[in-house]
Amino acid sequence: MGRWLRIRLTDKLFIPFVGILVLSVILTIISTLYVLRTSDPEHSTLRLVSTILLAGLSTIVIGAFIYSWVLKFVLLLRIRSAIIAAQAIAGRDLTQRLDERGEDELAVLAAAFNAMSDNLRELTKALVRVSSEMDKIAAVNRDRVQQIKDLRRRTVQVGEVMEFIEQIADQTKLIAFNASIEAAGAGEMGRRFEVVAREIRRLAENVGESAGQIRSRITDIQKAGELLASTAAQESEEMNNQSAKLQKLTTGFKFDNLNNNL
Amino acid sequence: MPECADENAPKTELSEINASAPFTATYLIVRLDSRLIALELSQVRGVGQIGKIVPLPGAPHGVAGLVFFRGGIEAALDLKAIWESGQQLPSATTLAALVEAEGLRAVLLFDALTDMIDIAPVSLIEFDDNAKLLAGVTGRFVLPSSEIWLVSPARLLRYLIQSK
Repeated sequence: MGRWLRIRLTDKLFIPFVGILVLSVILTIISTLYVLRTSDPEHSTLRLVSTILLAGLSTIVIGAFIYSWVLKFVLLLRIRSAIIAAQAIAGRDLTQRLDERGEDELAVLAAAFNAMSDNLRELTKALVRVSSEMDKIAAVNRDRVQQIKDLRRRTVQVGEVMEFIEQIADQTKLIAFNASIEAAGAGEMGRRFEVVAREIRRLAENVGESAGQIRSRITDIQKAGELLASTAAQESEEMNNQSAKLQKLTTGFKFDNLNNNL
Repeated sequence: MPECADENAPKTELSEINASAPFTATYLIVRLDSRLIALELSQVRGVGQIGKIVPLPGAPHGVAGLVFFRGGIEAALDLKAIWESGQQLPSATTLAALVEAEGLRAVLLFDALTDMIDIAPVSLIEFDDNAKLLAGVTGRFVLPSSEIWLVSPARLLRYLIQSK
């Protein structure tokens, strides 16, 4: 059996053909000798020809029948098993394997088929892992979008506080102006008070300017945050879509005989 | 505040201010649109935000109405309306200065308080004849970075009374 498996497919097909041919020749020779020995000389030529034809035709018919059986067992059964395995793989069953014993062309085909199946299994497993990683990244991205939104909300709160500080600075400035006016009305007696009022006014102006600058910076941060959140949300959505497509692609694959379906 | 010999004396007229040269006077600088306006500090009684202005029927053009300001009811003067024949609609943040000159009091509306500076009155460049176009404006100070118009409340109030 082991020797038979090592024979190439073309040889496997050729050997029965030669065997049938040899058998046909042998049967014809035997038939001819038998006819020559038993027949009378008058009818010997006709009988000889008819016997040869009969023996040849019967041998060919029998040989063709045997040859078709050989073809069926040697070739068609193995091709049919390959078709069944390929159809199973098409149905996402990656557990299918072909018998790759032997050294003929069908064995080589079976080995290549099994290698392709193995590679496909590894590729599918890798895709499943990538899909899982993409889910994790998408989750992290969603958290990041939420964090950016929180940051934006807090900057809005800081902006409101700065607006309040600006209002206080404006009110302080008004009070300081009024203090200066009162000091001016008090003449020389109010001169020292005027200096204090002027200092308070300058301080209020500086506070107002600084608060305005901070509010401007916060506005810039808010705009950058909005852009960042928008971009991150788009990326997250895109990643979710890709992950969903990948999951759809890798769902239902059977990887081993323990029904390890994913 | 003019730094002259008698500081308590009222200085409402430009000629009096110029007479105090070479001393300096303190002016309150306010902004109205893009214009800077100087008010002599001795004539300003206070500054602050105004509340609701109650329109006064039959009032001269430029009198926005009556307003409760710093504990009293005062007439609110709209300089934009006076100078540009437009009607200003005061907002909640509109600022005002209470001025008093020659026994007359009024509230002047403006957009922002800018500064309080000392300027020598001799540097004032007087306008020739602008009473009709720019009522109450007596001249301008030309500073390196800006030009400031000096408004005399007394002249402005007299103009309004006469126009009535």
